Amino acid sequence: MPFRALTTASLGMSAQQKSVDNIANNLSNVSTTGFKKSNIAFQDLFYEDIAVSKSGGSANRMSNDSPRLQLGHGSQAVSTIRNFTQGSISETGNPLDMAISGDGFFRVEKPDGSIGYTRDGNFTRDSSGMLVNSSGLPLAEQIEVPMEAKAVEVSQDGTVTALMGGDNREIELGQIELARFSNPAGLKAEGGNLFSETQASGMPFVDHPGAEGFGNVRQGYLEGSNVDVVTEMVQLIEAQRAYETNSKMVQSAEDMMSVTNSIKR
Amino acid sequence: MVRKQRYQSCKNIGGIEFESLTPQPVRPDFLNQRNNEAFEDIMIDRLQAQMQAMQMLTKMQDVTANNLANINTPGFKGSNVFQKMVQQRIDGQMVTKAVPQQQVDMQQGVLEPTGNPLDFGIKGKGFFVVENQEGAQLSRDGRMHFNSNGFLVDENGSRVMGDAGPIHMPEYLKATGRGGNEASLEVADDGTIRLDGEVFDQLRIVKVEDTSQLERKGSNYLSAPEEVMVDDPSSKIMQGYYESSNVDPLNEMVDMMKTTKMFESQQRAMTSTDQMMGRATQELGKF
Repeated sequence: MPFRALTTASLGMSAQQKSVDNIANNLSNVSTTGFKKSNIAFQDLFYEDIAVSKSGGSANRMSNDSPRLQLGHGSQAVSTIRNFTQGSISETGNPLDMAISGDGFFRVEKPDGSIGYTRDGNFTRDSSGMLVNSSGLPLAEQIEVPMEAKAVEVSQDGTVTALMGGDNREIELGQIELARFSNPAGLKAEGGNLFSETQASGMPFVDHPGAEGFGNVRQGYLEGSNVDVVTEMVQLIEAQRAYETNSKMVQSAEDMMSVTNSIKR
Repeated sequence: MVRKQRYQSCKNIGGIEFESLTPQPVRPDFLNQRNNEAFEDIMIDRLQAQMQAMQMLTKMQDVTANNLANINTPGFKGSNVFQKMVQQRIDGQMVTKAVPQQQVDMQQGVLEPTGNPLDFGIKGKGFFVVENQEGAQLSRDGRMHFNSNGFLVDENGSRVMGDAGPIHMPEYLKATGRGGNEASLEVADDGTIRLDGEVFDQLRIVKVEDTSQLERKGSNYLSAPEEVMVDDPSSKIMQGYYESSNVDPLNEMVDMMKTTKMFESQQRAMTSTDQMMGRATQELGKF
């Protein structure tokens, strides 16, 4: 193809465009509870070996001591890598807010019966007393808080106890369990602060909080987003500048094409 | 007959395939006496040279475009393009022409800190060795993770090679967070991997002295023949960093503008050759 530069640069532009889209999503979730930012990964595309493709063979390649000409086809955005570092934890004072300090996910039951994994510990009590997350999905442990409970306490290992109103008696309501994955980067983001398991993430290990490798549950706290605005802004500038230089290349390739067209008077 | 051969050889020159040219028959002396044809030949030669120059500049622009497109690709090494003068005997005449050549620019890219213990940057001329279906590949893109089977893999899922084959660490996954603390995976600057203080494996880092042996494979990979890969103890591994692209936008923009302007002047030259030929045929035909 003549003027490969044009398509190469436009592929470069579209890769940078995806980077900007990704940064926009991170920034718009800067105050989403339990949000984990993602980074986009670029790679160079395939190369065309000019010397080989024209002759159809490389019999006398070794005699050629000079490097050959390999023309690349630009770059592509291949994957997004989610970054599961701890977000900042802030106190809310709400007894049903829970933050995970360390590794692990809360498990909620989706309407189709499958399990969703989330770091968003913003739980409430629904009309029947079930502990549900902010979008109304119940915890997989099906913990029900009786109406006459005066206070609910969640210990660091996830045990939920209620102080009954009448006789100040403590009853245990159940234990919240967490899930861990050998490769959390393989989890699929579903929106609504939920992740679902995939083949890449592997099967979840489920255990109580505080078990080997699992984080603790902190009652009365929420985990914020782990998006760092400064980093995102710097990356945004980088992506925008890269987009700009690639657009100049498109312009320049276009110039060369019109020059070619003006060869014939 | 002679003309036809010349056109065939010209076609090859356009494709920069000087090595595979077959020896051409020596141009018969009597051709020099046929002035008309000789004159026309020179004009056509000139057009031919200008066309080649434009094709060469197009390829240079393609290389610059690829460098610019990969300005944010981690571990990417840009290409330098230069011209090599080649003397070739075509039709018994010595022809000098410029052939574009390319070299991997091994200049160090900036190491960006990420804080992720499985991101590695290389300071020096070495490469990571990873293995995929096509065999061993060289890479500078050190953003790695463990897959669900406990193998250390890169972005493409290719296994990262250590001293003795792929690095396999199912223990690390189980050990993560022992006693509430993260199991520490430390990589020293010589590539030695320590798991909670104990030596576990070593990243295989190789270098290729003669960069012309490096072949680009895409997907951030390069490859080289096994015999030119030598272990490289001089490169330093930086854990928690990745290397950004070494493409310098300033140089590339300057190259881009230079190429465009050179392309324009070649076109001017071509147009004036065409004008001369036009005048030659029109004016001389009046006699």
